[in-house]
Order: sequence, then C-alpha cells, then structure tokens
Amino acid sequence: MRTLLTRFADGNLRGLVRLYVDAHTRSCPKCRQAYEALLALRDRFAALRRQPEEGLSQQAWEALQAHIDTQERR
Amino acid sequence: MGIEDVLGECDGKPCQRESRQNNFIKQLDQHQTVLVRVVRRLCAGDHDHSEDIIQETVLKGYCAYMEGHLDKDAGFRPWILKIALNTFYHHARSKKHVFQPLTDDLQAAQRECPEQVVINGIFDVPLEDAMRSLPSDQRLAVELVDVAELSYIEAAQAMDVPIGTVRSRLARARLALGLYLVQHGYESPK
Repeated sequence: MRTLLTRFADGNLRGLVRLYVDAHTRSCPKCRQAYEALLALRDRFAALRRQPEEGLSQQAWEALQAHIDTQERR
Repeated sequence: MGIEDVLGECDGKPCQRESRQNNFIKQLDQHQTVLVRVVRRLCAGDHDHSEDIIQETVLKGYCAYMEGHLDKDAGFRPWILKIALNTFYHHARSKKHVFQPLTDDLQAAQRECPEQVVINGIFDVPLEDAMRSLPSDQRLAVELVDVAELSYIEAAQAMDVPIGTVRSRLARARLALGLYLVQHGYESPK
C-alpha cells in the first residue's frame, strides 16, 4: 500500500487501481494520514524546486568547445 | 566548381559529424539546468567539486554521443544524468566525498527567522537535513523525481534500475522523510 500511496499522490495510478486506493484512503484513517503526509511533503518539494535555476558555467561550455576544436584539428 | 568546393572536403562524414555536434549541443542546452541542479545538490554545495563533475560529464557525454551511444529511443536527459551519476560515484570512491549534515547554526537560524527561507541557497533546512539522513539510493530517487522532476521511467534509466525499484525507494524515502520531520519537530503528526 505504501508504494501505491506514493503513486497515487503522484497521480500515476489509473483505472480500477486508482479507484481502489482513492476509496481506501477515504475509509482507512491510517492510510489517509499517510496520504496527507505525502501531500504535505510534496508541497515542501514544490517550494524546494523554486530555487533559482542555474545553467552550465561559462567554463563548462568553453571546455566543451576546446575539446571539439581539439578533435577537429586531428 | 564542384559540390565539394561548396561543402568543403565533404564526403558526407564531416557534415554528419557537424550535424551530430549541433544536436548534442542543442540537447545539452535544453537539459543543462536539470543536470546542474542534480549535481550541485549531490555535491552538497561544494561548487568546485560539482563543477568538476559537470565538466567531466559534458565531455564524456559528448564523446559517447558522437560515438552513437545514445539510443534513438532513449531520452537525452536520463542518459546524461546517468553519466553524471557514474562520474559522481567515481569521484566519491576515489576522493571519499561524503554528504555533510547541515550545521546546527543553519538550523538555529531558520528556527529564529522562519521567514528567511533562503539560507546559503537552501530553501528548506529541515527538509534538506531530512534528505541527508536518507540512505544514498533513496535520496537519489527523491532528488531525481521530487526535486529534478524526472518521471519514474527517466529516473529508472538514469539510475539504471527497474522502475519498480524506483517506486519502492521513493515510497520508503518519503515515509522516512515524513517521520524525520515529525520526530524533529518540524511537522505535526498527521
């Protein structure tokens, strides 16, 4: 059930399995608590993902270009 | 004036090579932010270490791509991340790099100023500390799926494990994270 709850929280369940887990979390207090904890954790990760994005450094691009140039000269 | 004069010494191979180079650069440009994010987080803020791994990954990826090691049906993102992870583990084995827990100062700072969410670039100190408490295989599953937003399939490809393994590691990791946050007073018991 733990794995199913994770997939349910991620929206990765379909069909009868999804219906079963949905119904089960409504009737089972323990699983309902676990599901709500997963949702709370998901919210924390969403905040974590709002960190500024960073691309490759100029040095990384230059190193790649230098490698390509070296290959071309061979 | 023949076509060779227009295309240079083109017997087809140099043109294909240049096209392949351009494809690699285009794909790398598209997926660079997730690559940098995953490696930076694995290196726990050690910028120099992560930069070494990123550059090595890019060069290894370029060579492998030019040799045709990326399957047509495979995604570039999980493929380049797999190279990054292998590079990271190689560095870890050779340099004995270990994850460092957050210091008490950082935790105290957030408790005193909860509105200050950005501390040394970290948004959620308790969650970061909880993640550092996870076994490395579970932490990696969380980093790839929950932080880098890879699909389960992509994470499985990057980690080179079956998708069922990703699911079970994620489930165990999320349960452990929730328990950690409750036990350390950062979340109320549900």
